[in-house]
Amino acid sequence: MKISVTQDACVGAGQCALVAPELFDQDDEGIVIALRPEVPEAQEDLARKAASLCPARAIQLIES
Amino acid sequence: MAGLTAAETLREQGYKGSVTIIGSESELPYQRPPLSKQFLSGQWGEERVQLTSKKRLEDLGISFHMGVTAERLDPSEAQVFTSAGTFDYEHLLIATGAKARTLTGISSEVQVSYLRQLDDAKNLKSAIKADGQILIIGAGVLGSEMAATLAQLGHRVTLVGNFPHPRLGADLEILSKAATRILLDLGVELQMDCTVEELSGSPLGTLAVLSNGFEVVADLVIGAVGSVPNVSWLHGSGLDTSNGILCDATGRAASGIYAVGDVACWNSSPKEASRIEHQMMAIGQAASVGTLIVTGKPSDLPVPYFWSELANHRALILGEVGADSEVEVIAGSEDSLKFLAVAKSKGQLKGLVGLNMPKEFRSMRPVVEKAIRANQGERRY
Repeated sequence: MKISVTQDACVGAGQCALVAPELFDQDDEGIVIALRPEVPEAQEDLARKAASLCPARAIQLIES
Repeated sequence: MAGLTAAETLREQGYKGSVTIIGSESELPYQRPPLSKQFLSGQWGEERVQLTSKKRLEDLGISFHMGVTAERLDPSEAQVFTSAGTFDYEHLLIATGAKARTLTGISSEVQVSYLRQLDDAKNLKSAIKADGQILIIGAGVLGSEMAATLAQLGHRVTLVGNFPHPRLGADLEILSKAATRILLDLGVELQMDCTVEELSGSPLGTLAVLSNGFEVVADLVIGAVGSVPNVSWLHGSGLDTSNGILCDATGRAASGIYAVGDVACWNSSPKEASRIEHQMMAIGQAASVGTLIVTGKPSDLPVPYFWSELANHRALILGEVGADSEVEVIAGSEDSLKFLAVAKSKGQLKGLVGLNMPKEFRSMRPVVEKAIRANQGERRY
């Protein structure tokens, strides 16, 4: 699974970094940063949860 | 948002039956929070507020009927009558949201605009004149956000509120003071603690007379005085719709019928049922009901959490905070418009409020959520 984030869409709610801190961080303005493009298998559920909780749908997951 | 999230959750949880969404608007599901900010300012186009695509809905096996209005519900026959015929259901999830509350006692010669749907936002954008004077009635979160957006675009904006300071969704002095400063810095003219006594047509525009004696002639008048749940179509259904659709603590309104989002009033605590009109709550409720339908068990609800943006300032608010909260700044300062504060009630941690400190907010959030859940007693979030 791969992660792609749309920083322009991010509203800085911080849901992703809260549920999946190994996959997502925020910059000083609170905007999402993807920490790694590939999701380790053990983290796939967390990645899905982060994407579904994002109020701006700024996280896209590409299932491999 | 709520309807779509529920439908997606059903599929995620492995629901194999048919899933149909009926929506009265002629749009695919979109998010409303940016309408008063990024969309109104022109920073985002229409495609950016869309939450999904036809292709994605097809892939998920979700049948989407847009421009179809639900007109009546018959629970005994498990049927919804709509502008496009009758739909049978096994499980019905109602997410009809709310509409803008309109100002009363306005003469017919006066045009007042409202912002609730994407259509409203488009109409508003085309109604704004380059060098016009804009009057916004209502200084809650929506009115304040619109005032900030429009002032930032260079328009002359007067904001009227019937309480002492603008409110960013929560009645907290620390946020109201910050909002006041931000709005004044943007050049918004604040007329607080007063009401509109009269709106009338004049050759130059709409003349507004306020209870404090102030008068303004506006090219555009926008009302932002709250919302009313969309329940009129449920007349005769037997559901309790006195303040939205009354549901139990899992969102069930009647056998096989659920309600989520702005239209829903969940009986989350034994003492009081409440409508919490936050997008994050709508997402949480929808995911919980979707999970409940498939597995028989609801998922956890989020602790109330919302955000507001005034120009480039972003406030984050967690928990149930209000005028009686004891607020203590734990990082940054009010003066710098950058702070993180905890809200307590009778010594117990009840909320977290941040302005322009998103990372610090996020670090503290789990700690505060844990405390709120420990203190919530029988309330279910």
